[in-house]
Amino acid sequence: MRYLYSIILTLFLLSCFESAESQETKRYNWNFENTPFDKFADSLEARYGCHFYYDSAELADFEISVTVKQVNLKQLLESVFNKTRFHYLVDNHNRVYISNLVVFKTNLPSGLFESNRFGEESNQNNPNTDNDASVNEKLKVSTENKLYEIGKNTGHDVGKATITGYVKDIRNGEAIAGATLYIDTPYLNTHTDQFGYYSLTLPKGWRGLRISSMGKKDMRMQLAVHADGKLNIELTDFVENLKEVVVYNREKSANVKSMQMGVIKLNIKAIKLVPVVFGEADILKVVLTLPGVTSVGEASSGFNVRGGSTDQNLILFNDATIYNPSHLFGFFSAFDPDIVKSIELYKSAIPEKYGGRLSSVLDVQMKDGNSKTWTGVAGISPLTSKFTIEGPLNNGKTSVIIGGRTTYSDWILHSLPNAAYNRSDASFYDLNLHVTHTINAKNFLYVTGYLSRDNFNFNNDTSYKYGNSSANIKWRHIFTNKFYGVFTAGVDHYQYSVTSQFVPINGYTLGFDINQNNLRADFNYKLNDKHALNFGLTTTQYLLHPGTYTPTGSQSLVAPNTVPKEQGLESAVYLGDTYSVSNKFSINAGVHFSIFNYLGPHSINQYLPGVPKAVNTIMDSVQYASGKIIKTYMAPEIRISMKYELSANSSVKFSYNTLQQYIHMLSNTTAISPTDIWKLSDPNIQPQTGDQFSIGYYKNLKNNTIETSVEVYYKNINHYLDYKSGASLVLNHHIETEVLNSKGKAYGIELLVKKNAGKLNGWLSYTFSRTFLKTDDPTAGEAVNKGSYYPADFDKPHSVNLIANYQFSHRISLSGNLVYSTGRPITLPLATFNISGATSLYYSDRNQYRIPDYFRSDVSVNLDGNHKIKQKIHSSWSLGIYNLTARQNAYSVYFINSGGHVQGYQLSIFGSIIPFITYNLKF
Amino acid sequence: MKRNRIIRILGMAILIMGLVTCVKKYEPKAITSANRYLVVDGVINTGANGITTIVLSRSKNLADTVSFIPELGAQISIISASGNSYPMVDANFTGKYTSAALNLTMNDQYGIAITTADGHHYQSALVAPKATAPIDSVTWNQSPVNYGVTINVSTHDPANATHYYRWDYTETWQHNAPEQAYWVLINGIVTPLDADFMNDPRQTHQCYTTAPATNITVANSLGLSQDVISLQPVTFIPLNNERITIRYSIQVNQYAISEDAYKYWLLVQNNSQSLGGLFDLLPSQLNSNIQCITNPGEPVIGYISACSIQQKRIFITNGQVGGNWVKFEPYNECTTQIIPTDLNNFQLYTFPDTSYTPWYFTGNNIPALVIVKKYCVDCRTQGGTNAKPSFW
Repeated sequence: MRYLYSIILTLFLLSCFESAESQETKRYNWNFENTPFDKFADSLEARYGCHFYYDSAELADFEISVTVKQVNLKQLLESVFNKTRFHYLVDNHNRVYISNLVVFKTNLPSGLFESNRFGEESNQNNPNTDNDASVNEKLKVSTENKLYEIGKNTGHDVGKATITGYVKDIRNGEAIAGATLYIDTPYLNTHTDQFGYYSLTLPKGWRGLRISSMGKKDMRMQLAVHADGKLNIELTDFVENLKEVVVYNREKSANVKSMQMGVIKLNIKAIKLVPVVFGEADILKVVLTLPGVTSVGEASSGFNVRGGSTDQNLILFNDATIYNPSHLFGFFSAFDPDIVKSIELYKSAIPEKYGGRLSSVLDVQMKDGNSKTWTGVAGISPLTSKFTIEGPLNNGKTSVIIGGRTTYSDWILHSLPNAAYNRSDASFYDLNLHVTHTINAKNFLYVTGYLSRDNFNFNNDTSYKYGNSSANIKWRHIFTNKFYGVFTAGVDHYQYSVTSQFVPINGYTLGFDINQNNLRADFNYKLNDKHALNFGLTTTQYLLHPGTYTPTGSQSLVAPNTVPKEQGLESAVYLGDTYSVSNKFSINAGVHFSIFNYLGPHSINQYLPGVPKAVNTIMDSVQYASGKIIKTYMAPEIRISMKYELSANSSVKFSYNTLQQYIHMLSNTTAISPTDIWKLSDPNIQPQTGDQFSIGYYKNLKNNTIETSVEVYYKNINHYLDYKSGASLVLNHHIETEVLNSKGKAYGIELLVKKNAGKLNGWLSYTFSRTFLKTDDPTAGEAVNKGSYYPADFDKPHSVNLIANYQFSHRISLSGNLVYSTGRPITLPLATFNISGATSLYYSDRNQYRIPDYFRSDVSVNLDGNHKIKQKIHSSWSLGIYNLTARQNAYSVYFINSGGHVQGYQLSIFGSIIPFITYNLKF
Repeated sequence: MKRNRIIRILGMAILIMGLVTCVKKYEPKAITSANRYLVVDGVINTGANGITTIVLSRSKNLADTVSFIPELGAQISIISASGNSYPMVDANFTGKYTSAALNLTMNDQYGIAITTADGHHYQSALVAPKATAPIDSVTWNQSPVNYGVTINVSTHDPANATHYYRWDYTETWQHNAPEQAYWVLINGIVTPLDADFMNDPRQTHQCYTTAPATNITVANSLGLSQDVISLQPVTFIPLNNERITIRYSIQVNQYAISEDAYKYWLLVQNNSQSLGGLFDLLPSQLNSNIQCITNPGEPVIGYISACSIQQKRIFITNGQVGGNWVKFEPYNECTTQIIPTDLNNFQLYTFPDTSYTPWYFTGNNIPALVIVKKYCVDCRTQGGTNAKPSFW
């Protein structure tokens, strides 16, 4: 109907076509930045005295960005509308008519179709023809209002077409994952995957495509879609213009519109603004400020998500499983911030692709190397220094990033006025390598390597060593523009050892390691504009050495003790479908079917039925041969999430998940050491299972610059492993006698207010969460707290985090954070007594008391050097204060029996104000 | 030029800064409160003419330095399911309450009822008595590595009904003063010992120290096809410990206990071990079968069992153990002085320094007295008693 109206209007215009010569004399300077057309028209009407006639619906998504000097009306209009799908006419009554191009088909500006074909245009018969020549002809963001034709114009754009391509950073060619591409009429959207790849099926014809991504300038493109084709898009960084009021895109509402719930995505820029101790940007510390995430203590490794234990998080670093994500027992995270692109934390709707852990998936993505030019970053702080270099090889077909980090904290320890510290050493390093290689337009290769090592020696007594190492290779193949697959093979390794030769006779080394070989194939198939399918299969082979205790030193009389190795195979097939039921309602439903085999060689103890498992209730021990399947567990895991949009800026989401976990961490939390043991499920230890319901409401305010959300969840956990009173875990050959099969429940509410833009940005989160466990094992022989529910070790009901960053200018910003949480539960020894000759301790009920509440405030100032783009070296300083109020937060509480009585002590690691300074170089 | 500047900046960036850890005492109210919980220690003795002994004491808070807080003035009795009540008395006001010699039948159930001096009323669950099988043997063996001596107990229940066992023991050992004195000071008079001075009850050269168990031992026979306990260690004596420097004796007491009692004692045993190390055990809660009736939330420590008590005693003499077992003591010189004696009564002793004691007389006509530091001739200064135990 509108179409017809345009035609009539233009026919009328054609009849009185005259040029407006009188307007040539009025010349002005103009500067428009993303200005809606109606505002633009108002401005021109005021200056030139003209009147605009246009169909406002047609021009609704047409924004103007132009800077011109001393132009008359016609020149201005020419600069705005040239090479767009709109045409203008100015009659001699100063009336300006704006019209859709279609009606002027016979009067097309010459060269429009000849010179403005973009992207990789392909013909309809073979939409997948590679056209390497056109790869170089990438779109430039400066050409926002240009028209991009996809496919050959046959004159009848009926039906649908699929466009595919990559969204990349214009600066360094880095793939942008999670960018949203959408068209308004009809509303359709898609997201880029981790490779920056997208596929969008849309009705043929004129379409306004919008692209938005965190930290990037929003972009609009005018498309004329005639057939399937390719379109690569490059986005520029979002540079805030401080002198002007910035107009935000009305549609930047990914948190409301995206299918995902309980997902938090942060890019490294946001992470780097949060002040942390020692001035080293720290991914895990930032994760801990997110709603629903807590940790047992400051500087402790691991984190707890929604009432899950630390071993229930799958931590992936470019698909490599990281078992210990920290350096120096949690002072630093194991991820070099200069090599990280972004992190994603899945708290509730865990994609069907992932499995094996109950609580969350933390996906840390490494940066791709710069494919355009060689650059580097170097940083130095009193404790660490780091270096990263990246760049293209082979004419940009290959890009490489290499990063390394090390610490030289020994000098600080040695300078402390404490003899024990003087004799202590602490060091770590990590190395990262990531290579991206484009074989051709359909085949890509990625190679990733990661190595971390820690060495800590306290008082020349006991030395701890641990490290992760991983390598993987990934091949991505594009089958069709709707179907691609990624094939990954990788190895992961984690080990620790504790050595003590303080008493030569007792000199020992305690070692532990996990080895993992992974294979996976993941496929994405965009069936049509309603259905997008994910499917694949994965398999992981485990080999664990649960403990080797060997004499160390020539005088050692320690008897060697080795807990036999364990082997297992965890495999899964998965299928998921994202179904857009309507513009407002969509469903993601998937299943992850996992199978776990516990493999020989191993001997399995068989216990008397109906009595507590204990050494003296072992009836028999059955020896299984190498490779023999001792026990198989399998279960389908359901993943469902739904989204309903209530309005353009509010939505409700629901998700339900079931999960299985076949590998468990056993931790004696009373000691500060990385001596946690991992244990595979076996005939005596069942897999942990869990399910979670969650529901959330999301609303964006003030043009989507403020995001608010409320999420509520309820979780059930079965076969959680808690420990019997007096459990001994290290070097135990029959762990099943020390654990208690427990049942858990967790629930909570998470509130988040996040301001994404403006001089002041940051987030405020409040989480109320409870986690309770209950002994659920009739044959356990004992029930913790008489079989009633008790708070888990990581139950911290209240948690508040405020992260704020204020940008004074391009070069100076001030960041601060406030952290409060309830102290974690603790079991206290209340009294000592003598009975039958023994002096013993009377403990409270398990986790009946809490350590003092935690509170900390930090502030930092980030000073950037000048922003001249051509300067070779850019430097920045970061200085600040950690723990501004010098509060002595309890890190651990312990009791020492000395001189006949037991004394409790509270250890604070950062018990005073800690200033820090860091210098970074970029070249 | 530029490079120099960068190096200077890097140098500046390295500021002196410390990793500021601090340790302070952790004393929340839960710990600093008095936490005087009632501790009930004992077994209802269902043996023939059995005397039941129950020790009542109070727990201490972690900071307390007193070693033992007896609970005095309590009314305590053994009660039975059939309604009988057998009172117990604390004859010596030490918190040790004993019953008369009783013959409690095995087909009743027994418990303890306590009313403390402050009026609180406590009662244990009624438990079925178990018959304790006799101890087969108490043996010892010496480690070839560290030469320590382990005392083991072996038993079996032909009825296959016991399964859970607890042991405690009483140790007695002889220890001598470095020197032999033939005179002893009695009421200010230096008195000669009998000719058979070794058996004179006034001698102070040989002493006997008796000590109760310092650890709890429990075991079960569940994993075995027969109800047998073989060579269960009950205590360990490290090389050169005073206990076996002359002669040592241990009496092992065996109790048949229930499964719940077994679990209780196992946890007490765990909690009595050290705190805070890498290989340490996780803390345990104790669930007593004794309840405070007047204040149900109040914790009570202890677990009441009823059974007959079986005992066995063995001796080990120094000559039986290897490894040249001698007690290493800090060198104390037996400093002597010679003092003149009273001309009228040479046996009269008035020397003011009580750290000395008479040793022997010297001189021909006018005797002088050699006195010596007390520990040299009086073994009681090292503890114990100079009275030979009846079983010795």
